[in-house]
Amino acid sequence: MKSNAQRWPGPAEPEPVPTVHMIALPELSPHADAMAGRPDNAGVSSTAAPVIAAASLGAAMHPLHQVKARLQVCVGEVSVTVGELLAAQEHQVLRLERSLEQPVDLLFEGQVVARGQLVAVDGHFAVRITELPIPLQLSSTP
Amino acid sequence: MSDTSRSLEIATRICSGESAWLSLAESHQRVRALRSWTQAQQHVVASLFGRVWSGWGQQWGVLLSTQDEHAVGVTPLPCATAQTSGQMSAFDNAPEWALAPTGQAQSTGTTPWWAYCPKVAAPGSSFSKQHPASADPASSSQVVHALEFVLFGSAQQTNRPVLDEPGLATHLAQAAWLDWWQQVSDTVQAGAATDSWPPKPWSGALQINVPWGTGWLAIGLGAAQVQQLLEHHAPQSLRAPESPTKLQAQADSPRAPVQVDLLQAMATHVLQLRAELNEVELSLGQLQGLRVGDVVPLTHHLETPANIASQDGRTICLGWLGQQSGHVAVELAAENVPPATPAGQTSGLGNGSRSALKQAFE
Repeated sequence: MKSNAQRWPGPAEPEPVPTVHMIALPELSPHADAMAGRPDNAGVSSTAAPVIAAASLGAAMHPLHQVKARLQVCVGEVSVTVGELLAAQEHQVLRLERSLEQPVDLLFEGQVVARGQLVAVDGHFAVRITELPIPLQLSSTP
Repeated sequence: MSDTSRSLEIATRICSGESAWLSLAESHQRVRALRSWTQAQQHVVASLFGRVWSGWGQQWGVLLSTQDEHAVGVTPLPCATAQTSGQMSAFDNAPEWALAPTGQAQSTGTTPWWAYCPKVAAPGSSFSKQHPASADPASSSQVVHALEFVLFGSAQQTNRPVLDEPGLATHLAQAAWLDWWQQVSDTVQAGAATDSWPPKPWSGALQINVPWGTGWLAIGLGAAQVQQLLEHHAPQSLRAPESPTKLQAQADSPRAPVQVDLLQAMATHVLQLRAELNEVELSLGQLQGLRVGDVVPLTHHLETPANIASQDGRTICLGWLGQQSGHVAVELAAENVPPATPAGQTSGLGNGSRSALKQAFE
């Protein structure tokens, strides 16, 4: 078994401010070779950007600010039949209905609340916000 | 979703009344089998009562010829075809029937019900209604008088003086009536379990229509009584299934239909799938402060494949993110990654994916 973690380029040393890495998704062949889509084939470039952290917004005083919301991250969609899915094999490539230029969706309760670019931060995926339809505004007075 | 959480979800839905399932107790109380009898089976019952009626009639001199035994008919209950068949249907005038057991009959509930139609009339006419507990001639005056009319002619019926004490003809008619009912009871073998009355559609209840003077005598039999009659008087091929074992034997026979796997049957069903990364939890304060250019870190490791999930968020399988022909693409991964299966090994989606697919249809 390959160790994908060893092949995925990332920050060698921990840094006080996380570095955001651009992700170039690997090319997948319709008749994919084994491990073709693994992260070790992905290209990465580094930039700097503000990373959301809980401490950075800890001063918010509105009681609703502490309410937690779980966001789903949707990279793409595709329509397949049950028969196609049952016949699918490991390493088979499934092309999604989303082009590379289109951002990923951040959804809350099934509704898109933000969109962004898929990036990497400290060995994890991350989303750089590119589209915020209507910022959530909470009144500061009770 | 684990089995425990799944069970908890189902239990919650049941307790909140949202489940489409009936509890075991409700299933026993509210569910009933749909019963019906073929024409051949109904013919067996009609012939049986025809022979009883013919023999009783010859004994009492009621019948004019033995051909009359074929005048006995059978009608499924409830039915609305009596008008076309020329015979009375009990349920054409249901309010007059009062088939619900009362008194002694309710305590026993094992004998057939009967009703007397004074004459062949259009549906909607009034019936004399009785139940077997009152086979006593004193409470069966109409049907006994009709019998008396058959035995002794119209003069006895129309010109009979009103007397406090019944005459000899009436006593004879009453004796014939009681004997008839005894023979009917012996035929039905009272004691068999009887279904509730009035019969519901597809209950398997039958109405025996017996010519009775100028009218008809209708006898109602429950499905259990009909089944018992068939067990004793019908050939093997016409006997009703009597036990789950017998039904199972039929299901195991070569004629049983081949069962098709649910997933095979739904092979052409289109699923909307989404490639998702692990959820991220943010506070509303963080959401409010989001600006274009901010980066939201996810908990999803780069070396972990994405979740390929159905619209309701149920993970179907896993896939490595990539691109193909300018589109985002996923390479299907084994279910147990990471760690992944050995490179180059090819296998279909495993049982876990099949289970997830099945759950996606639930």
